[in-house]
Amino acid sequence: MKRLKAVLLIDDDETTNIINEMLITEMDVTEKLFQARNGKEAIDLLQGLLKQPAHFPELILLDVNMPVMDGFAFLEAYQEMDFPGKSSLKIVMLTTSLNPKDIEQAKNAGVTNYLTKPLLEETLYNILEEHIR
Amino acid sequence: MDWLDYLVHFTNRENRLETARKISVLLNAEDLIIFLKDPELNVLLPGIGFPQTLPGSKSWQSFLKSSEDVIYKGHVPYRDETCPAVAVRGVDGAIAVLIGGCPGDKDLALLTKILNITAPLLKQEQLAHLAESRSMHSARLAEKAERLTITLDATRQSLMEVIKENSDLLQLTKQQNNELAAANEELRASHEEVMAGLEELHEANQKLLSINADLDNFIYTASHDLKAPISNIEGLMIAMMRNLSPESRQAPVIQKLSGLITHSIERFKRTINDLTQITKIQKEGLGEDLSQVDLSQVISEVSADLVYQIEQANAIIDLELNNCPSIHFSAKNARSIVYNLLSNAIKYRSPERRLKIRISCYFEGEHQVLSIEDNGLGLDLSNEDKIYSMFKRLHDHVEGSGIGLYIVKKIIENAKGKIVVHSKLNEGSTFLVYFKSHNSSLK
Repeated sequence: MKRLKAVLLIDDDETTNIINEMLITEMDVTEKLFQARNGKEAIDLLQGLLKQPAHFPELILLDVNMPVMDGFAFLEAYQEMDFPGKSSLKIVMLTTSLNPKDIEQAKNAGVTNYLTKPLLEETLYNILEEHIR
Repeated sequence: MDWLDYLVHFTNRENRLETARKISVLLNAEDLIIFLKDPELNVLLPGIGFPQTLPGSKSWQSFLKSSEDVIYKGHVPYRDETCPAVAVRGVDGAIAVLIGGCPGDKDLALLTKILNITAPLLKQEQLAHLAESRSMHSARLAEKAERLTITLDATRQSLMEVIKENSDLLQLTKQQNNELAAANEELRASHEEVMAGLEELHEANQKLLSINADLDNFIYTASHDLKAPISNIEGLMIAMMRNLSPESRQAPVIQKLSGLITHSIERFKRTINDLTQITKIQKEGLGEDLSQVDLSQVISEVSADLVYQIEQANAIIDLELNNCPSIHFSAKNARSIVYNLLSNAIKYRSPERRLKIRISCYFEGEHQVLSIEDNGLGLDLSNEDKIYSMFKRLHDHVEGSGIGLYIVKKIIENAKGKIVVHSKLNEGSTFLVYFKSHNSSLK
């Protein structure tokens, strides 16, 4: 399995970010790992990274409930963005609640997978196998 | 013609008018009228002559009154002109009047002779006629009077009845009016009371609604905010285990502790999920997905989902789904009811005998009843309310959160149905779910 150029974690919960960072680092699946604490920070980060295609994320782990800009607002803003290779970027929603309405909305917004926390090694591995290899 | 001939003809009723006409021609008059006096009424009645020519009996009556005691010779108004006339008096008030001619004395003597002889005969006839017409008249009168009397009697009778009825009614009405007034007064007082009560009730209701909303909000927020840290604990636990050396990870104490932690995390998560589910049921009321639900299909599907547990328990499941109807219900809620009751029956089986579960349906009044009967541990129904309480578990040897029956009861009561349980300790339980009939029909 090839290593990713970069992964972006979007979550306001520090502990979740630590857990996910530990897992991803241990699995050694990416060159770089970025973190944003809400949708707004993530959009700003992605805008900045457009100039460095070598480090542009290929996988985003996105929380739903966040202050400033939540997961769905981020997806709306992201859909407005236009850049080469956008279709190869996978977004995985990672949340505590599996609300059928949220799942439907996420699917419509182009989310690849919808998972409940915590993110498990096996789950992440499967996603990478399925979408990124 | 001899006067005797006239007399003979005069006695014959049929020739009388013709004879009278002949006499008047003989006497050089146009008309001959003979009046006879009614002795009882003392009025003059035309006995013979040409009555169709009379201009009006009244003027003739007055003419005769003035002339009956004399032999009148003069003029009278007759046929729109004034004509010469002669009145001749005979016996018993008989008077003959000749109009339109002036006969000589000899002729008048002849007429008087005839009149005197024929007058009693004419009078007799006249009187008989009068008597007859009077008796007919009085008979008619009597008959009429009788009819009137009968009618009057009946009317009076009816009137008396009506009056009596009316007076009774009046009495009753008065009494009723009094009672009504009293009742009205009472009603007004209780209406005021009810209105006051309603007002209070409304206020209390508003408060309750507000408290309920707060509670819902609290549970929702609590369950959501609790999920985040428990997910983290779970994630951290996994990360920690991953970072232990293989030896440490294999150590029995670590294995045991990590197992207990994982188990606690699972229980915590399940409780939060139950809480979320309860809030949802409260909020949704009847459920969002109301449709025609085939109960027999739901039962079959749930049985298939629980096939592993059924096999583990070596249970005999007896499905009698012939009478299981299609009901107007939330599909998700119907599934939840069947799932909870069937999984309870499996969970709380008796170790002393092979588990038998019988699921069937029947109609009772306006309800379609789902019956789930088992031969399991049974329940002590002395605290029946407790079995439907949230987080209340009557058996603690089996895994469970104590939310299942609470949810079933809540769902069925929200849908205007009910749940009934019959149970004996160590013999088994029968749960009956009453679905309210809508327009559903037998399958």
